[in-house]
Amino acid sequence: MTREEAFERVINVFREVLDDDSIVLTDETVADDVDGWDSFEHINLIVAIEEEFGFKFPMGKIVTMKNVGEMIDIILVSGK
Amino acid sequence: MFFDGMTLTTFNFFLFLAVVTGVYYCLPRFQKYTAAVASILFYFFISGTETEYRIKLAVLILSIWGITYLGGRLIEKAEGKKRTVLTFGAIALLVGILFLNKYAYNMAVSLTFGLVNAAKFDFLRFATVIGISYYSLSAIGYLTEVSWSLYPAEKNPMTLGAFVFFFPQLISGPISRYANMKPQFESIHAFDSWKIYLGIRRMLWGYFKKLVISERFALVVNAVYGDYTNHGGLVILGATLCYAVRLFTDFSGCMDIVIGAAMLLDIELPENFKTPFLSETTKEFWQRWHMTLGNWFKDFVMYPVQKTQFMVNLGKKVKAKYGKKAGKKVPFYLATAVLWSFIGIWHGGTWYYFIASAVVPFVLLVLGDVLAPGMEKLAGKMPGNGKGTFWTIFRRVRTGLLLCFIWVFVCALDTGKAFRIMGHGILHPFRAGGHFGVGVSDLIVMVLGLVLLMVSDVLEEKGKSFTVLLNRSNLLVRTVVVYAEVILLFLFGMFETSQFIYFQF
Repeated sequence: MTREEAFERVINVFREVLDDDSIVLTDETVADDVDGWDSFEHINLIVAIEEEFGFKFPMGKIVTMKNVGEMIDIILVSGK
Repeated sequence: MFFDGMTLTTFNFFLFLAVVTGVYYCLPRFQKYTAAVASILFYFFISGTETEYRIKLAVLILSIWGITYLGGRLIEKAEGKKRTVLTFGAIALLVGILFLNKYAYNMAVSLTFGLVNAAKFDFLRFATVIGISYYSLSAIGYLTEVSWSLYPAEKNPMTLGAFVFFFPQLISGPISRYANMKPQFESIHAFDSWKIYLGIRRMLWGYFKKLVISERFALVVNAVYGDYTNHGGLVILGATLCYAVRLFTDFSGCMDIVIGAAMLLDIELPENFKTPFLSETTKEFWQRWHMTLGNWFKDFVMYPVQKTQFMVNLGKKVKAKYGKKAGKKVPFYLATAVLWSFIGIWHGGTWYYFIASAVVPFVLLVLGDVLAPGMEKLAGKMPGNGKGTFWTIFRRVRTGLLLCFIWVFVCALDTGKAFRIMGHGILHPFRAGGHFGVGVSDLIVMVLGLVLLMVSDVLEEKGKSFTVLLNRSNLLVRTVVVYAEVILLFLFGMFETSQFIYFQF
């Protein structure tokens, strides 16, 4: 899986979970940049991404990931 | 000894701070040792002079220090199930110590609903240990993050001691994270007069909030709540809003003093407030109020609960039956209920604090969600289609008024009394006749203080805080401001009654 492919799939998950087709993500995107990505939706997004890529995020990463770039890095290592 | 009985508002604290700062910069290679030793000394100085109590405190400090240090080292080396067992074991010990020292008596009394004589639980009454509910959370957070492999366990017990017991934040937070503190304790900090100046200025602002503003608003709260039958509902509402100002200036003032004192040692502590009274919803309020506590419980309680397989499966089942929205909401509400329950208990284990800091916030959160579509419709009919200043102010005022349902319990310090006060207020909205506890001169200081506070918050919201503006101004202005603050403090500060509210938690 290339980084671009991972990005595309992650963006689709975000759009599906947050019901917003205008969402665009970059490496630097943080929760504050995306309407609706708050503490309420954070775990919903994480679980949806886990299901999409067939792996589990370590709990420590869930609370310390700083931006989407870090999320993609983990997906590229552990995701399918 | 001279330093005995010290608090953040007594003169000997400044002397202590000056001595520690002097030693800290004179011995640059030993700064973390100075921080650790000063923290333990500080703990003894603020905790009274009784020998028996001091022995108990020493045992407590050594236990918590030892469990956190050894726990971290053992967890790091273990793997799989053994790691999980060790993590839960070490955390259970820390929670056990915290529970016995802080919550056991209150919870025993609360959960028996007065059916059992409270005196029967006296064996659970330990002498109050100040600060334990704050630094226990730092220690538990550290052990959890070691078990999550976020960083290696600390090898130097003094660095760990400096982190857990760091004296400015020892008594009422902010609750710091090891990953932010470790590099700061490991670095050598050169003396920088600019940082010292900034630290002193931050502390002065905190003292001003606490001693000039907070203590005066407290007079009104005490006068009205102490004699509520002679006051009407509107006055009680006003007094409850005064409590909001009193609580905010007390706690955020304390944080200014704490963060400023740490700045003297060139240590940056996390912020605990982000102009909370400019929040437009109660949900937003909790993201701006006591942030380090909220973030701690979110990361170590709410997210792990939300992430359990049970919650994930529950979400799927509800989604299949009731739709996508419900599938998200139900697990979230359950996890939030757990989060608020923990926060409620953390505030002391009494019913009135549990209702104020768990039940009401949860109800407001759910109500906010349920009423959101209706509010959006209303917004569309408002001037500016719900986007202008009018709507923003309306939402801010509404949030403040809703939060009064929390503060009424804290002001009353008794669940039954809180309900009686609300009932009385509704039945007699316009009754007048009681005293307000302040004279005209106090009232003028309160109004001016409140205006200053509001200007400060609005400026901060726009990214132009007093700090930023002052830092840009010239030396003369900066000096005059500091002297003016000191003079105002001595002229209008109420030193004799001051004790910080959040010390009790």
